[in-house]
Amino acid sequence: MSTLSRRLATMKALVHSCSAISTHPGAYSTICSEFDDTAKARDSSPEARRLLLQVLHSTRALDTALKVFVRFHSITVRKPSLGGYLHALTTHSLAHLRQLPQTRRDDFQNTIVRPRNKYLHEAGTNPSNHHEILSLLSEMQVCLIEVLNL
Amino acid sequence: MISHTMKRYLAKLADHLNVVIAPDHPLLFNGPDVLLSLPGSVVGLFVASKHEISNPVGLLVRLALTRYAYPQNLRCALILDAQEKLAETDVIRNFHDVFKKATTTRELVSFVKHETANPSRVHKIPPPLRDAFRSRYLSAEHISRKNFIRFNVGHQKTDRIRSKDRNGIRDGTPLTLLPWLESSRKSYSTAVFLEPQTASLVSTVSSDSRRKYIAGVRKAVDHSIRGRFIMDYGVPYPSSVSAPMFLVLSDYQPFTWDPLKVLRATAFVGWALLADGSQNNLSQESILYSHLQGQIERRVELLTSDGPTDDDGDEGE
Repeated sequence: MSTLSRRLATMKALVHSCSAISTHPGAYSTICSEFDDTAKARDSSPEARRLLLQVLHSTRALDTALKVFVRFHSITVRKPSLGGYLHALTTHSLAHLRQLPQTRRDDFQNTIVRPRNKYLHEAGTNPSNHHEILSLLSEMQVCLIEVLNL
Repeated sequence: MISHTMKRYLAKLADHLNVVIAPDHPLLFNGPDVLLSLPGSVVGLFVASKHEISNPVGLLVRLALTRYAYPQNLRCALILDAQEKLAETDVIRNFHDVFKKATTTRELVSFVKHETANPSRVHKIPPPLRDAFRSRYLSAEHISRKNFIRFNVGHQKTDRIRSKDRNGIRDGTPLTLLPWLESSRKSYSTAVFLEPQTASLVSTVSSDSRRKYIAGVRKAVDHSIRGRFIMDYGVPYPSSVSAPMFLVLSDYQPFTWDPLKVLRATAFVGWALLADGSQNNLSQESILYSHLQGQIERRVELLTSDGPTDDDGDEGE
């Protein structure tokens, strides 16, 4: 198993173990499909398309996981978007769930939300190299782990 | 390392459980050997290496870091040979359960399903300990990113990102290694030194080859982390007040599948990365490290004592 595959398999196991997500009908399998497609995108060419596909599938896995997570905990979300979910996780008042620290929300806003929005929403923008995208993917994985850790 | 026999055994489990051999966590160089999961449940299996059997501190460090890095519902189990010495030591009380290698598939599946008849005495890590560990990690990571982030995210096209190519931190003075450190590292390539003026721990890693580089980083991490914890029924208590720690790298060599892995995994155990010969000032970085750690700890205290804040910041998309 390649190292990227082991990383994605680890992420799938952690999502699997989260009751908030695994008890939602269809959520786990949908998120896993996105992780699988992130790995499969390695075979696409040219490089710019491959990198964009990896961002797309990876962010869909993260967005869906956070959406299901906040809904499970009945957290009010003002804007159903990645930034909105992070904001809601920072400001909720549930006693049984810890808040995401503001510093981390700011970090994820800078390292995930902004670069992701740039690539997915602005025509003509392409990642300059694979390091940039692999870093972005790993930031998304860390973000998901931190949320599962709350 | 998982043996072929163990892999065959795990293959049988795959009919009942989700099995991940040699999982890769973004914050850890070494975690559990295997992850077993079911909806709502995850177990990390640890198989002690020969070195860990003769010196269990390494195994306990692996367990401690795993418990800090993974979600709190992770339960940890140790797999032992029938005659293994570890079975007679206090080490095993830090695991949720211990299984012999001959354990039936049904027993292990049952454990993953929470159907164990013997409830474990292993405790959850108290939130203040988690928060303190996290604040140290974030402080170290902040400094490392300040020094290296521009190179990790898309400004270089080569796999090896040399520190001499980076833009220096403009408000610092060059970090010239102190003579005692410079001379010491010739004989001890991966030792950890106490820098007397700032009471910081400093280590250096050179990178003649990629293999030596990774081995050097891992050795420095191992050196620093041993003795940091006292394990009590699975809870890793810090054994002493930890000084700021700086790992001086001659260059930053990213792992191909995760360019930030070295930065994060070293920060997770408290190391901030500095570039050898760059414009970093050890005193300033040391003050910044302590300042950040205190600042993050205070914010976490506020968060836990005052409840939520009314923040109308930008939510982005």
